[in-house]
Amino acid sequence: MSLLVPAALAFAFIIPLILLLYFMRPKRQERTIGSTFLWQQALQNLQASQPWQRLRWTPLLLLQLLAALVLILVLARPAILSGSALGGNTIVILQASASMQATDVAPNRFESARTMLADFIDDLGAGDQLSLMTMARTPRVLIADSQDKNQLKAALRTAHVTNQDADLEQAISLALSLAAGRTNTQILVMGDGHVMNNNQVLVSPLPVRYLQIGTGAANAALLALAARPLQGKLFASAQIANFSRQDRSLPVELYADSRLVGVQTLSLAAGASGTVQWGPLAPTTRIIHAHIVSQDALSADHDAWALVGSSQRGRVLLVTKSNVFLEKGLRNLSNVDLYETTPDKYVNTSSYDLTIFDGYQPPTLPTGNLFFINPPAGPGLFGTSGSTLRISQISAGSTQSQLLNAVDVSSIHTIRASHQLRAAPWLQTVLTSPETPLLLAGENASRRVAVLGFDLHDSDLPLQSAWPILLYNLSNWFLPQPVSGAGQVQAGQPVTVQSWPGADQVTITGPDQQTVKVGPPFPAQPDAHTDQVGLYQVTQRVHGQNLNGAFTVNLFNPAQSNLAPAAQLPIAHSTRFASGASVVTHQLREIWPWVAALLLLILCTEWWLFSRPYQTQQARGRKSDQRRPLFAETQQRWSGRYQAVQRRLKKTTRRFRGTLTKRGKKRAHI
Amino acid sequence: MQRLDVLSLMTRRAQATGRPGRRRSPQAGTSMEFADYRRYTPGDDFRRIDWRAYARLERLFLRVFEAEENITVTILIDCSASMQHGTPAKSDLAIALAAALAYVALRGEDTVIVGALTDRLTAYRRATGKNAIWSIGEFLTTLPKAGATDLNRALYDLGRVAPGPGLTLIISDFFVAGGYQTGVRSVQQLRQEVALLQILSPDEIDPDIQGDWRLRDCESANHVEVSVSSVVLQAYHERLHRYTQELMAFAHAQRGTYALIPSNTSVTEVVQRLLRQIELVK
Repeated sequence: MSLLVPAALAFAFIIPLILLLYFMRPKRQERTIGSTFLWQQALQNLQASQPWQRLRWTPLLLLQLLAALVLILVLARPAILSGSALGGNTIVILQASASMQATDVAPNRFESARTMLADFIDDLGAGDQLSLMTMARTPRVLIADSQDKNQLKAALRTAHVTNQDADLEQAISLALSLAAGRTNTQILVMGDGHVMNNNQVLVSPLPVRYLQIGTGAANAALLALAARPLQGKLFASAQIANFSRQDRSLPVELYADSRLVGVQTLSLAAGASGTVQWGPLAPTTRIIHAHIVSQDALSADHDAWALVGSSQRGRVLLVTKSNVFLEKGLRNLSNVDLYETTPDKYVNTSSYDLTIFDGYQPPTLPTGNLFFINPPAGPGLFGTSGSTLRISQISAGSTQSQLLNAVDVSSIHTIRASHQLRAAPWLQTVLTSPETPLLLAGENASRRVAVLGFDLHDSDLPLQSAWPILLYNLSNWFLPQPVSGAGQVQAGQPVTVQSWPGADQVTITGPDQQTVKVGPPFPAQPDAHTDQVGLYQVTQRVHGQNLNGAFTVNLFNPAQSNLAPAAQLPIAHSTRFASGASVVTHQLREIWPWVAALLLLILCTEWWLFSRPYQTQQARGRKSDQRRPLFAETQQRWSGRYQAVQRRLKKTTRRFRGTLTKRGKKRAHI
Repeated sequence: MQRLDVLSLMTRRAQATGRPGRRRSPQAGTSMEFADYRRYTPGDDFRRIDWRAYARLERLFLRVFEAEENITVTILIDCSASMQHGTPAKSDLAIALAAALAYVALRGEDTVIVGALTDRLTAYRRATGKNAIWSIGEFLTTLPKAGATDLNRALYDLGRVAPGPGLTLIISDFFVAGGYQTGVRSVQQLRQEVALLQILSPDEIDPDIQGDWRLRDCESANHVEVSVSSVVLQAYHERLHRYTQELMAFAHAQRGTYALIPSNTSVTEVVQRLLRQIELVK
């Protein structure tokens, strides 16, 4: 133990002062009483005339001397050498990815790491500073450069584990920005090392230590789930991996629209993965859900959801005399409910999400999206359709359009003739030729309009592979899905809902039934509340009607499902942290608060001892007061009666004796 | 007053004073109460010869009757400064008690002497007859209220006043450094039956005091420095108990009576209960 302020030992002069006070007789209050006769006799040993008295070692004196010693010790600021794991400035990166939910370390890896970190905070020295941050897909700073243990613990309580991946590069980058301008700073990464940067080697100018948490616990995970038509029937398949050191048989359940389809058991060797398939499913199946029936350390990857086809289907009306290319192409689109009619039977009902006019333009246009193919010559909503021209060359438009994604324009060789299109300014050219624009698309007045200037029968476009892709892109542009792709999102990934034209409100309801409004304003705001795995419902209100879509969030991350902790981090020159062995600093830790608490205890004891005579006196007084009415009065009453009876008896006896004596004397005389 | 009218002072033995009164005398007298027969001797009163006995026995016998006399009741009140202390003051009860006892004695046709004690017998008044209570009362209002206590010397002075056998009541706190035994014995030698009535205040019986105090004696320059604790209080109580026991034992050794009277007791209760218990009054 060391003393930080040894000069405070000079206060030791208080001890002789206390002894001097005990040597001196206390100055007393004076009180005049009737006679000191009895007091003198009772207290002869207290009678003294000298100002000094013999020192008597009383408990009070001993306690006061002890309190003085402890007080001097507090003033001298005693400190002990303690091995703090986190000395100086430390930035702690707490991994909060999905693998940290593993329960191989009770209660789970994340809580275990949090408990260890709380212990580190308790052991912080006076000059130590700590910054806390979590590492998931996006790093988050909990608290920066704090010495206050309460604040650090409060910030630590706000940390939570996620289903996300862990981006070590971003976390290190953020930690370096926190450490900018400071010296003697180190970074401590607490986790299992499952990060998304394992294929690269990061460099950190600050020393990085890695505190490994977790064991190589067994785990089984769903890595993929999908449904696809095969020979006209719908089949579902799932990929399952066995991340353990033993062969396992894993029963897997499949639910189609919340109804159990079947359970299949997949036997997998250690570290292997396999596929299991169910089918045929009902053609109307919209959502499938797979579940591994197994108990292991991580359960977040035991469930997976997938959408069958598109989650939102639009009503499409095809007005054509006859166009087999269009009909077949549209029928193969999963997000289209196709209705057909001919121009002479067409009636404007305005109840379709998309109306395709093939070689026909009605006098009054319906509401909703419009797609004009080979529009007759004359003015229209899109501009003007002129006379037909021969097309020499086909090329993409000036601006890169998503409508041409994966469309090989060069495969289109022949277009015999196309109407000369004069486009309205809100239309953009998607396909063009030197003679005239061929495909125009744009949005106006909350609806999307596209114009294809030629007859499909006059080109080889329907015969090329570009046609179904172009049609698919067009349908997705007219009738966008809530989430692009197959409706699957990684946990924690922000989701931007593609709203339909005319949508005035868009909400997302998560698996926990929490609803988040992402629009208005439009375009819809990205929603980052996608940490939970499961099915998310998207509701759009379009022209007063609710349009329901969905997307799914699945873990599907082998790096997070393989629970064996990484031996080291992908950071150059990073070192392992071992509790106890890696105590880096032996720093002085003040213990005066404990000594002060001891002082308080001593003073309380001294006060109790001092006040005990008063308590004894009061208790005795109360006891005598209680005894007086009950016992003393009874005793007095019966004593008085007894004595009265005794007196009467004596009196009677005396008289009787006197009478007998007189009679005896009389008889003797007589 | 009506309660006092039925009371009378008692002595442990009959005393011959020669003054006719109501009390039974050890000597033969002329009361109506027959006491005994005795042989006739020349010089005896012929009127007391029992002629019937002479007729039967042919011997002369005299009929002897009991004598009734009165005594002198001396009430001595300690008027030193220590008697003025206490709540209520000890002197208040002492004066009231003296007045009550004087009234009882005067009702019994006894002679009453009331005296004031300090370090001497500073004053006294003799009275006889029921109406003399007013004189006694007037005397009690003029008692001194200061001075030191010397009971030995003050009681010795009683020899100048006491005419003969009687009852002496000493009302004091008996907190006397010089003692009281010599004085009481001198009174007893005057053929006085002694009753010691010790009046103590509640503060003296059970001191209500805590902490460090310098206790100063009101009669002298003596003082005691005391740090009151439960141990000290216990020592005081033990000393007080021993002192009162010594006082009672001494009174009984002198064929007298003793009573400890708290000053917060009413005079009626003292006379009716405490003094009856020690058979000083009946």
